[in-house]
Amino acid sequence: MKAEVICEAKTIAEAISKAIQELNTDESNVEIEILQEPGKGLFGKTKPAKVMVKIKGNEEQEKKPVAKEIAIKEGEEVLKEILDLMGIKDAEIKTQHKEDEIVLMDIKTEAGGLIIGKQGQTLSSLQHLINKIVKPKDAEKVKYILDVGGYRDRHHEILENMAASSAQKVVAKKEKVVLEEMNAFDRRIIHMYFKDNPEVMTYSEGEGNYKRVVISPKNQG
Amino acid sequence: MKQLVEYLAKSLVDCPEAVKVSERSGDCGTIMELKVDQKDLGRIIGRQGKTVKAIRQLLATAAAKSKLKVTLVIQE
Repeated sequence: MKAEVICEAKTIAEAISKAIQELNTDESNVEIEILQEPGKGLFGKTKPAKVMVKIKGNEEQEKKPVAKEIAIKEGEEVLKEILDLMGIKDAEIKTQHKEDEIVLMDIKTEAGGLIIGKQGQTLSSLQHLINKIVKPKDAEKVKYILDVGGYRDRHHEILENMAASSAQKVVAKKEKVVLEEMNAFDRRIIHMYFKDNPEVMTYSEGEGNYKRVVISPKNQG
Repeated sequence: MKQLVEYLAKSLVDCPEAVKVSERSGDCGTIMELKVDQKDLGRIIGRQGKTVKAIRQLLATAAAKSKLKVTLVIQE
């Protein structure tokens, strides 16, 4: 079966319906791209309408699912094995495919705090190792992101709240505030949070993986 | 705990058959010695020691669960 066709007709609607007929499908199932609007061309010639019609999600249906399923399965297996060896036997893993190359694995366990660790260090270690270990052969590169019972979202919120209250201090006192050491991921959340803020600016200070974010008033350096 | 290190090391390296883990007790807690093929050292250590740090972190977490202290040493 053809996955996409390019059709020409007098009007766009005609071209689309012709293409859909050729693909033997219906309109809800396709993506339409208009290549050329109909109209008068050079020297009074008429230009036909030209459209490209693709069957939706066709590429994924043809090659990706197998690779994706492998990536999900292998990721789950390795994670389960590591948790098991760490003595965490009650873990349930809920895997979700987010964007194309991102596999999100949410761990549900009584020992959630233990897996997260101080400042999420254990969780990011686990994530780093999973990403190093799982290299499914046929799959394109995927990135595994781990979460424990929605910790990441909660953590994100906490960081933003903390940043917001620090920023209030910065504005009130016109003095910079240095936050505690954080990993790159967390620092990014804070930098993004203040990206368009008219009153304060942020930068990182320190060396290595764990730097400190500094929130400082704008126009003061 | 030994199996944890063994599993992680074997999964990371190119020659899993060269991975050897031994335990001995030291001054403060258990010392776990990891031996891998020379070529695989980089795999175990990772960029800026990130991978070995992660292994140590998981090991420490697992050890803390049973109130132990374990140190991981990589032998060259």
